[in-house]
Amino acid sequence: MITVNEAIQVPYPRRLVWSLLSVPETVVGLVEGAELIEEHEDGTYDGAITIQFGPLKVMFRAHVLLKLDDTDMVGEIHAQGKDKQASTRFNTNMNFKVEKHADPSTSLISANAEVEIKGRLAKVVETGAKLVVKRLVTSFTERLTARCEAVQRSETAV
Amino acid sequence: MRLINRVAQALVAEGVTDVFGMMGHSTKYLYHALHQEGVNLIDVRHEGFAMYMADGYARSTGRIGVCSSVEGPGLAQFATPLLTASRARSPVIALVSECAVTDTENVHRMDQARFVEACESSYLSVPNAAMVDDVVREAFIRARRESRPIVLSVRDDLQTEEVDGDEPYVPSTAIMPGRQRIRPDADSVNLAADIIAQSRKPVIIAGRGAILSGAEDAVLKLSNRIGALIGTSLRGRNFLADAEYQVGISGLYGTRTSFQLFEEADCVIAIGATMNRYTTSEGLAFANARIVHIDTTPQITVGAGRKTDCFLNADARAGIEALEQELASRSVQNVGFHTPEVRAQLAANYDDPRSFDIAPGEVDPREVCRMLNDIVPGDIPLATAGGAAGGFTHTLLKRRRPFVLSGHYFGTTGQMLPVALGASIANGKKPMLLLDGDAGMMMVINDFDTAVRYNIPVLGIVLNDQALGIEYQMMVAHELEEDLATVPSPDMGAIAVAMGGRGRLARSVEDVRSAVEEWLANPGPMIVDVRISRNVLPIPMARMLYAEDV
Repeated sequence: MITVNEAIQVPYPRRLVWSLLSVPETVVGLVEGAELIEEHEDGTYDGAITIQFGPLKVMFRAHVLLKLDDTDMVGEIHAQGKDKQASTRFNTNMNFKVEKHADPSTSLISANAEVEIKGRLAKVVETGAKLVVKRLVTSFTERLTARCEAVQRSETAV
Repeated sequence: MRLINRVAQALVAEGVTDVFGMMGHSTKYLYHALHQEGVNLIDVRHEGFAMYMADGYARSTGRIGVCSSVEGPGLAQFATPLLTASRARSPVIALVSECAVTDTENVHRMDQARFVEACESSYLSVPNAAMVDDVVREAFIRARRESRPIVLSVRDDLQTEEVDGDEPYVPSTAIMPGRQRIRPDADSVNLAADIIAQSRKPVIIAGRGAILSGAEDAVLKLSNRIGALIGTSLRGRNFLADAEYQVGISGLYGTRTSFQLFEEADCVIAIGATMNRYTTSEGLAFANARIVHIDTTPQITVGAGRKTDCFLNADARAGIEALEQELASRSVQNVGFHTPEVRAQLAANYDDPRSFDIAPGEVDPREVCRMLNDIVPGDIPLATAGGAAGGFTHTLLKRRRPFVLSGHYFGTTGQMLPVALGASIANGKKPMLLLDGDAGMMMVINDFDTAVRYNIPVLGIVLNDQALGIEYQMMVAHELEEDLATVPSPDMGAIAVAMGGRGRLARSVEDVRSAVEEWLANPGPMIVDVRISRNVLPIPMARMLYAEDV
């Protein structure tokens, strides 16, 4: 099991940050290599994510459940997926939270992820897998910051 | 005539010229008989070394390698080499003795047949004097047919029994049909041609089967017709190494460029390659490609149990020639990967931009490999061990050579010095370049003495990081106590000199170059102990441990 805990400050108000994280399409867009394929009636999604392990890129199909709590500004992503040959499977649980900061123009985003990789890929990546997951989480927060900046810029322009 | 003399006669009739081994009291008659028949006997210091030498003899020529040991403890020393030779699919015959049925208290007694079977090899015992010709012949037939070691035993009490020997021995070659190329089924060729004709980005992966069938020209012709990149398995490495669109090994030892290019592949034509987990990155490479597989051994899946889209049960060359003919009849011609852009990518294929701190007195192993690749002429065969050293040598020693032997079979440490020596002898004492790590060389260095006694011209370059290299890097990555994987070693060049050979301790690339130039001018048994930096992480380890995109 790979566990990654990240906490970052973003120089944008909590409400703005949450407005982005509460839209599934936006959340998926913040995950490097991810795409949304189909939304189901039960609120789950089919998606795909291409992850680069060293020079090797592997595409996984995934079934995703996204739970959002607007009141507490807390989200959960549960995803299960497998590669094209079904030789590698992964199971992910990620929690993220947009928290208050002493400065109201700033938010604190915490993201905790647990990823389990089973099957053939696990042998290829060994300890490298943890770094890949950490990279994904870091990239998620960086993309979120950039997106906040873009939204604020457009709002200011209006 | 004694039965054991008949065995010696039979071996000579089978074409045996060299036997590697260590005499024991119960093989003394065998040695005497072989000597009388003019067989070249190569005495080693450890029985296992003899089996590895026979393995190297077989691997480099396809001819049967022969070794010998005493029963019991001598045979038991064959354990790892037997498994290694079996995994290498080497036709080897091991002549051993066996305790007499009545000799129940002999300390050498063991269940030899079960032991050999557990080592993935076959055991044949001469049951009586009347059967000696039949059993020897069967051993040679099975070694060729099964392409693995056969242990042939003659009981102590039978060896000196009298046999008639009045009829000439009929060798296995007089009974077995000659080598025939298996031609592919026409319907399968059509299906394969359909797949290839639809492909825009084809890749050819050549394995050892392509080398053994002499498929170079056919593969090149097909590659040019369909615009295919040419990659290899580890066993097929350096195949068509000088071809314009050859990208090197696929998978574990592949370059970053090869990964990037293979990602675009929509069709893979595997030729005489098992397409195992290492070649296919656990079956995850070539995810979007259809697979055409040509092999003499029926294979319906490749790495990770993935199904092939078309299997051609055929000899590599015959299969490719049939495909080429079919594609020509359909006027199929494709640019594929054969573009200036791909050529530009391949120009930097083996670049490694990583830089490391190298302490004074230590050497970057990559520089050593590049230098050796440049200055050791292409007519000198190459043997490289696995382990951490293999992370550099398998990729960077990429020049086309008469043959290249890789020491990954059964993952056995210490197999390559004896394999190289056996290969040299099999090829008329041809000079050989060997690269090994310190653990591998130290495991078998006692038998460097064998190289000296028989003046076998093998240059052993030891990439010495004074550690169990892979384990050291893993300990670092897992934040364990890495010093536990360090093992200081003596100056192996000095050991070589003490044994009567030549040797050097090298602490710079120039030290290595000067030693190699000396060896090239006058090849003989020599060890160059190169002190390399542990800071230089082999690329496969950088990917596995740190997910580096290199």
